[in-house]
Amino acid sequence: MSQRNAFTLGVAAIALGLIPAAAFAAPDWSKVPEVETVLFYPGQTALEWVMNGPDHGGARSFVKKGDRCADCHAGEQADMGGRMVTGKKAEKQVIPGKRAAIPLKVKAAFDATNLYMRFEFPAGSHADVPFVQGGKMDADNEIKFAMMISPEKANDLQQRAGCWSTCHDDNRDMPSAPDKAKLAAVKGIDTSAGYVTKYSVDSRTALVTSGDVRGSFDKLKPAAELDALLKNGGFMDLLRWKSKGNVSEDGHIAAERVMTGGQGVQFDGKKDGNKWVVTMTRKLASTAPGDVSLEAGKAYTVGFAVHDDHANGRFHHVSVDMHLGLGADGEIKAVKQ
Amino acid sequence: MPEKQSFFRRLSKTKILGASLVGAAVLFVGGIVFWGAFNTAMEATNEMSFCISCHEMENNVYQEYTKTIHYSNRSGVRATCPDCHVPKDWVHKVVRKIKASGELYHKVMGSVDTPEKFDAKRLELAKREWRRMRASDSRECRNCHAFDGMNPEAQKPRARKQHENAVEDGMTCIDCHKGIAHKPVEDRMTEEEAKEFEP
Repeated sequence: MSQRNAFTLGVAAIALGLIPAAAFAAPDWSKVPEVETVLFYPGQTALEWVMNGPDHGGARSFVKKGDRCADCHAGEQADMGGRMVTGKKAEKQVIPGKRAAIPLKVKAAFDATNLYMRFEFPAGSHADVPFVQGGKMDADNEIKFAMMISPEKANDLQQRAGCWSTCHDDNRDMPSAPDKAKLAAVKGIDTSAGYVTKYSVDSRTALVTSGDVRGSFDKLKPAAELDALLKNGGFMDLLRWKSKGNVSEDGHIAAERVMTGGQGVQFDGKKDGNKWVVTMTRKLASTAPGDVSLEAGKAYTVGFAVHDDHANGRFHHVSVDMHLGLGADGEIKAVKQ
Repeated sequence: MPEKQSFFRRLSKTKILGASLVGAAVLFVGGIVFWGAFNTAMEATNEMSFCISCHEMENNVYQEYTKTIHYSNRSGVRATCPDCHVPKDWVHKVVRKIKASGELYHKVMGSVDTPEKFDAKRLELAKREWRRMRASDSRECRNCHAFDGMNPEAQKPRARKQHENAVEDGMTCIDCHKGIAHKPVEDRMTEEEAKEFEP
């Protein structure tokens, strides 16, 4: 086949939607600088825990001084994960043998159309979950990889806490998780699964950060205000990859977690020897609700999570808040292509 | 011509603050002996071995302390019980000792003579010590530690940031370092109680 015919065939394939346009534009990853961070096991340290002085020595720095989580905790994630995964701190359901932390290598690049990211982390061994029949919470998916992006207009707390701003003490398997009667009484969110999902701080009228029962699942703002959240930055964009079937999901978190509705994202991941490699291509601009429209020259608060070893819900490994700069400063600097 | 008095006679008639010289000498030497004995006795109660001679201390707070950096560390510098709990200067030390004498009553009464009784009183005792330390701007911590002696580059990010904030806001060591050498109990405080100790 001549070069010209191959080009024509390629264009035709794109036009027919057979091959994602992004597949042609993926960067040469060997030329993109790598940043290494550490995902750690967070136990039951919800936002309310973070903001409560007797629980968290850094509460004052976060609440009153306006510090980011990363200001204090970047570099000590493995130690923190070790304390929680063994139940020494903020964890009542210990999974023996679960790893405390996962090193994550991140590369990022962008062009006029897309953001490209590459993630690499070591595969771990299996540890049976003693409180789940069969020992696996999500038997289908060995790995789920997720990334959250905070809108530029998001409130200050969300920008400083990253994913933690959506993790609450009354979420699934958390200390203040409500019982069925309380769940049934709350209107405006889907509680049919029997639990409260993540929610953004802007979706509630108040944050209950102290007392025996913490969290604000039942303090939903009026419907009109909730609808406005997606326009005024009161949400988190949520992108996720599932290992079974190489599935990509594009959702968001506002009044609750929704795994659909975004413009779409293309993940591609696989286990490569003793490591997992996941790449992501996402259009910078989006008008879809719950999507952050990314712009060159700006930095965004992002966070990463791995549901390792068939984990579900809160039993994941997470990053502290990070800044992704598109030609701007940040812990992760996306390279212009 | 008056008879010239002998040197010793004149000396015997000399008065110091109304006391004869011999009397003054006896008082002086007696004072030194008393002072020395008093201080020796006070210092004897200022040893860790004295503090843990009561099982209430040895079985509870001492055991916790031996697992902390104030007991064992890279450089071998050890802060013992009185280093943290008894002022170094004499006046504050005596005041502290007088207050501590109340512990004799509780020893006799057995107020904390079992681990369970000790644990039930733990928060109350800790709060008393936290108040004392706050009132003195953590004087005993500062016998060894000083903000201006810290090298932020050698600190972990968490410590560096927190110390920057502490200096900026005029905070004192105990505001953050509660339970640094013993079992942490601040999480047992009610919200109202915790407010008292907010910087």
